[in-house]
Amino acid sequence: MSIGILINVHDGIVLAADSASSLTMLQASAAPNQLSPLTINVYNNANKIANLYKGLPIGCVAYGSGSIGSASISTLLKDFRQLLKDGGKSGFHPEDYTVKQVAESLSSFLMTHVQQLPLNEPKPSLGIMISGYSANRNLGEGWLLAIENGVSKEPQPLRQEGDVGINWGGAGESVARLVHGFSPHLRQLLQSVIKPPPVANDLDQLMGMLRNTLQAPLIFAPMPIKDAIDLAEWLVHTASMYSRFIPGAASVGGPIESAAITKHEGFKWIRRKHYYRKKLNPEIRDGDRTGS
Amino acid sequence: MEIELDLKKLSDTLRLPADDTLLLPQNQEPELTVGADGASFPAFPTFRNPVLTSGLIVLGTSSTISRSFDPQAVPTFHIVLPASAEPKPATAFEKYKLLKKQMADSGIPLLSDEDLRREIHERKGMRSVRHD
Repeated sequence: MSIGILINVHDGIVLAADSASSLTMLQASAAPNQLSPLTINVYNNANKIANLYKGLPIGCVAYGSGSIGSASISTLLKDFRQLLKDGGKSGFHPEDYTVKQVAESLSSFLMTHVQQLPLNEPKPSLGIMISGYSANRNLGEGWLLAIENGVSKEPQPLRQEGDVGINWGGAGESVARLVHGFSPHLRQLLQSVIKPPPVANDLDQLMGMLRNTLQAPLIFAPMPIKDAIDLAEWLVHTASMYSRFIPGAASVGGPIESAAITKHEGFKWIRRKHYYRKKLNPEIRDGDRTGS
Repeated sequence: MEIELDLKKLSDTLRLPADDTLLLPQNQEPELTVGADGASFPAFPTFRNPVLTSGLIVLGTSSTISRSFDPQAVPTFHIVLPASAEPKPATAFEKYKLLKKQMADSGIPLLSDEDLRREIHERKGMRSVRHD
């Protein structure tokens, strides 16, 4: 599991994530013909945030499956970045692009790798929140790319243009309780105790009313970007601590990484980890070999 | 036990007895989902009470913070709680009430008021005999 956070305010967009990566294997469960995941180990050094084009205000945060086949999501995102840089092949133009186009291109790119998987290999389920500023636009936007059991869904906008808000993916139980005021389990619980069982529309109405009444107003449009950064990092930390104390493997944790995307400053790392020392590797700059 | 949930009174504190099954590990983390949950807010927020403004943050309007909902538009739900959620009787009076209810629900025919008066009259003056 992971936690990925995206906060959108008028000043910019903040991406934040943890660094945990769980190694799991499927084992037979009590239910017939069903496999349940068993966590074998948790590593705390995965990279889940990426700048999708160096020099442009586009970034993403990933959660869910950490790899597709033999390639990690982090490596695949950098491969995609290389593909965008070669505009001829990808059709990407830095002067005229939209974040939606980038999301659609990324979806196609990842699905190409999914389709190359052997038939007997488990198919990945992952989500990626892509955010940034389209060329010549004043406000940032966010899109959700979802691949579920190897099947991709069309990228969806996270909110209407001009609205601000917060999104989270992965192990979001604690964040949901904080922001919405109740657990994601509440809907299922109400479905089971209400007699006769309510129709979906009535239950949606009730859930919407609960959300409107109990939602915590944490985000405001004029919020300065630094405060949005602090909020995002705090939420990742909360999810990490929640995972630590709740029964089960601590599948959210490790160093917190965060980045901010603004109209003029572009993509800026706020917190980041490197597995290498920059001093010992002067040929590497901003994560890439210089001259590449 | 059947409770009718009156949504018009939701502003009052509504406490439901805790269900320990929710503490089981399998109920703590939802199944992995690739969807993203979230909350969106309009560009110009509204507030129930006026708030202080300072420096950079200047708010446009002030009214209720949450979208007002029409309780008349929301249907009344009936909630049926599992038997274990029934509160156990604490006082002797509550225990008596529960026992009386169980006796009435048992289906065994009980004496009417007239039968009861006749029974008492017949036994009056007689020493009760214990039958083992």
